[in-house]
Amino acid sequence: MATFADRKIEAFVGPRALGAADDLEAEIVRFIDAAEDSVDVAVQELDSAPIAEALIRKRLARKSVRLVLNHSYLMEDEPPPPNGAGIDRWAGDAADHKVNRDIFAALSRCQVEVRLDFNHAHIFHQKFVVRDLRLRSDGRWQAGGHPALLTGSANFTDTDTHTNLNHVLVFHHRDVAEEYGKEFAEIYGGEFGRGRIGDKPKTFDVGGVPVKVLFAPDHGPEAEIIKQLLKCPRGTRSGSRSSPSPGRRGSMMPYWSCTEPVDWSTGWWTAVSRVTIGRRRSGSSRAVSRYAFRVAARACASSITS
Amino acid sequence: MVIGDSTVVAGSFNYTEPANLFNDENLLVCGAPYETSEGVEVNRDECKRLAGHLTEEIDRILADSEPWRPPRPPER
Repeated sequence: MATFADRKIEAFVGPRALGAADDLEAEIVRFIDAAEDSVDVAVQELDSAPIAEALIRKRLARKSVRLVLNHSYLMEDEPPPPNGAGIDRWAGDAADHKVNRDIFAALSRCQVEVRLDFNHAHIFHQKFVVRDLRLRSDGRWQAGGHPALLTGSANFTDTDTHTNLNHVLVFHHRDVAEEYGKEFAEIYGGEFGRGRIGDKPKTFDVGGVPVKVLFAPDHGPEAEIIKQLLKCPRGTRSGSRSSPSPGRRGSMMPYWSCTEPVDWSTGWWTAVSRVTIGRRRSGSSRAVSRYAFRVAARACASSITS
Repeated sequence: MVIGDSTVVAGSFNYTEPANLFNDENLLVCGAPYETSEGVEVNRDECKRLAGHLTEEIDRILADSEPWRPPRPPER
C-alpha cells in the first residue's frame, strides 16, 4: 500500500499476477470489513466471492448494505433450453454468469438490498464504495465510523482484480465521500445515464492535493481531460516520466506542448487553438492533431466552460 | 493517466465516446502543476509523490510490454 496526503489518499495497483504491488480484491474486502455503520456499492459487475462474502458478513452483523449492479451480467447470452419442470427449469444452470447469479441470490437471501440499473441502452460502468456515509431521503447525512470512498478502474470480479491491470484509490475524506454519496443516492433512486445536468464538478483540498470529482455523462469528463492535458508543462509527456527514450516509451503517448500559458478566459476554442497539440516525436502528428482538435471542438459545446 | 509530474486522472472512465456521453462513470483529477488550483493551496511535493508512484507503475507496465509494430505490408 502507498499512502499520500497525510494518509488521506491510498493508491493500489494490481494485479500481483502481472508483477503489480497490490491484491486489489483483498483491499476491497479490507475496505468493506472496516465499515462500522453502512456500505453502499455501485459496481458494473460483481463475481468475486470474497467481496460478496464481505458484504454478507457486514449484513449479518446487522449493518445496512446496499448494492447497484449492471443488469446484463446476470443474463445469459442465449435463453437456456428447458431442463426439468416448473421454475426450476430456468434455475440451477451452469452457463454464462452463473457465479454472478449465485452471488445475487446469496446477497438477496441475506437481505442485502440489491438493485439493477435502468441504463438499458448503455453501460452502468461505475466502480465505487461509500462507507459509513449515506444521504438519507430527508436530505440529511447519516455518518458513522470512518466515512471513506473506494473507487478505481476495477470491477469487483476475479478477472479485474487478479488478471487485468487496474488501479484502486481510497479517500479518507468526508467531502470527497459525500460527492459519491450524492451520486449513489441518485443512482439508487433510479437516475441512470443521461439525466439532468447536476452541479458543477467540485474540487476538494485533500491534504494539499486538489481532488476534482466528475461523473459521466453529467460532467463531460472528456473536456476535463483535454483541459488537464493542456495544462501539462512544456516538454512533459502524459503517462510517462520525462525519459530519454521516446522511441519505445513514448510510442503510445501523444506528445503535448504549450508554448505559452493557456488563457482559459478566452473560451475553449481560442485557448486550444493557441496550443500546439499532438506534435509527436515520431509518427503521424497530423492524425493525433486532427483527433485532438475534434475532441476539443466537441468540448467547446459541452457543459464545462472554464 | 499521469499528466506531467503532478496530475493523476483516475476512475472508471474509459477514453471512449460512449463513456463520455451515455455511460455512468466517475473520474477523479488528483493534483495540479500549480501553486494554487481551483481554490486549493497545492502541496506540490505531495502531488508529485502521488503522480510519481503511479508513473512508476505505468513505466513498469511499459517495460514489461511488447512494443506494437505495424504489420508488414504484404509481399508483392
